[in-house]
Amino acid sequence: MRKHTIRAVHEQDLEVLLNSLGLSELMAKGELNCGICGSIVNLDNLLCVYPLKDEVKVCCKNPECYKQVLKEAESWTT
Amino acid sequence: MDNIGSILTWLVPNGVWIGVVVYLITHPEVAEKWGALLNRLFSRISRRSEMRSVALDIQGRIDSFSKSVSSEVPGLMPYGVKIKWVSGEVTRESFFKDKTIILRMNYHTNQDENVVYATMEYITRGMLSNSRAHVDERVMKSADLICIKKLLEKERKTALQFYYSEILSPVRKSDEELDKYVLIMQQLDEAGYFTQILLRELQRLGVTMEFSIPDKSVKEETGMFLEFLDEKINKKKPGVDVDPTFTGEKIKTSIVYVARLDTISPHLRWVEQCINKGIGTIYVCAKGAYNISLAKKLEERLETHQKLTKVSCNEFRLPLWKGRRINNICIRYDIAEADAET
Repeated sequence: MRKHTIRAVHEQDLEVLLNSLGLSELMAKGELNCGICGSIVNLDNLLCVYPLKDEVKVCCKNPECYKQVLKEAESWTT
Repeated sequence: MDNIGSILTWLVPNGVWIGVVVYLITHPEVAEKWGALLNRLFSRISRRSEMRSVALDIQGRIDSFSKSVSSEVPGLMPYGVKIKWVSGEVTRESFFKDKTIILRMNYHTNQDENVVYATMEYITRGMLSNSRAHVDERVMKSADLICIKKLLEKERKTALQFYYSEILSPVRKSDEELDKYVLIMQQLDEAGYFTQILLRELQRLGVTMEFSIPDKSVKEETGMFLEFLDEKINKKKPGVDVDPTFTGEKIKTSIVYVARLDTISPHLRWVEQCINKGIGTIYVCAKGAYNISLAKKLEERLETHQKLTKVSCNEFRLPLWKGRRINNICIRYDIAEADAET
């Protein structure tokens, strides 16, 4: 069976990933916003990280926001 | 070690071990679920086991569901799922190169949440991938929501509460039209038409439209087809005659519902009419032992029909009343001439 790959980060590695992507400082300052609804994202309500043009975006746990990101991702090659 | 080996051999004969190994090789989704349980034992002391436990559990559940759906509707969910962990090795360059979502997973103690979000990604990207661009947005969104619910019902019932309260309810409240479609699809699912007919037709549309530019009228047609299934097929009252045929530009389908007749002659005549009208697909459906036996007689008569190709025949049970269940059958035929036209 062919496999669809879901890339995931375990919450224990979340800070390491955010650091690699240069988002830690923004989060610490409370300046990291959901790419869809604009709400402030922190370690508790961050659901996913995704690329948009040349920016690294984050998405909060609002299901509408996540669905919007998934919709955006439909146009990417899998 | 020799002693342990001989005790195990005494307890469980070699043939059984070989059987278990063969079963796990041929059913990797079961091996994944067991792998998740074993890794959970060590998840407190081993970081690797914790991550394996989370990933294998999700993979096992999704793979198991996709396998069971594929046995009903081949090609509907052609993919299994693989969780690939990432962390510090991801650079901005590799992130843009890979161009993918990185989903946050919690500790296995919050596995319900993990399963729900992973399922959302899987269904949204893995189901009907060729059809999505050609289907009305709300129809597609509702189909996703119902499929996620079906997966959780089958594979992770404890996650349903989280799914209902955190995902389904807010999404339904935010869009009245979407809410209407979700309810229709829920009712179609209870009647057995959701997977057997709606998803099959949407999948077929993806094949027909594979190299076509998305078209607004085709999208609208998918919405009309959903309403047709709801009004003409699912809500049909006994004794009231309705035309069970949908003749769209791309979806041309007729549903032959075998019921309350002692003879199959009217159904045979109907099939011939459908062929002459250029219908693309015919579904022969029946509920209950007597009607199913008639449907099978019809199936026998259609077996040698030159213009019909039997694509599938599924027998399944659906809830009826007070915990009782009823047998159902759904046989799908493609009509050769209509295939050539589309």
